[in-house]
Amino acid sequence: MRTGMVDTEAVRRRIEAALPGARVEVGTFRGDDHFRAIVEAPQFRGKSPVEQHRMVYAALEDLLGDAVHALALKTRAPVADHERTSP
Amino acid sequence: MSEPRTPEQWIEQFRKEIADHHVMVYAKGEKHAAVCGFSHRVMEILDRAGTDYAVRNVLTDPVLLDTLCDFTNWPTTPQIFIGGEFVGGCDILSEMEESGELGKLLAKG
Repeated sequence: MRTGMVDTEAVRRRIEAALPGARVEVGTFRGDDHFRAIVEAPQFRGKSPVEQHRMVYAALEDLLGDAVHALALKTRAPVADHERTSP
Repeated sequence: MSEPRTPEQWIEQFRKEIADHHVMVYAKGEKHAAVCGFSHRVMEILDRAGTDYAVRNVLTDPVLLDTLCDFTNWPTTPQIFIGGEFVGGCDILSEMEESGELGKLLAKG
């Protein structure tokens, strides 16, 4: 693996370290440096989508553009049990 | 060729563009000629929404791109402004299309 490359595990660990308690799924598409991530974090509660994305970008700041060439991102706050609607 | 702009001049330009255009897109490539999949998708979404929008190609000047990312505190492109407000990138615009929020926001203009 060349220097500067990161894998999906490294990206996942970064996000989890920045957002403790988050549920994070990371995959790649179109090559090793295009990542997709789904992040569900309690820290996102009350935050706008722009703010939620900024929090994830901040966790990956030094990797973005280089090792992480593209990041397709979905963010959401966890739904609390009392907020769940019956099926 | 126009004179190269300083970061301060670019910021002035961004403010003018996002005030002048109800929907302003900073993309990789020109309008309907994106050179990046995410920029292409954003233009498709806006075309589907039937809205008019302006595009500035961020690849014409590295100072432009760096200044834009500092201005919005957002590290990736494309970047979309609606009604003078930064709404985010391709992923957020896609979600807004799916939820119907995009149509509501555009209707306000």
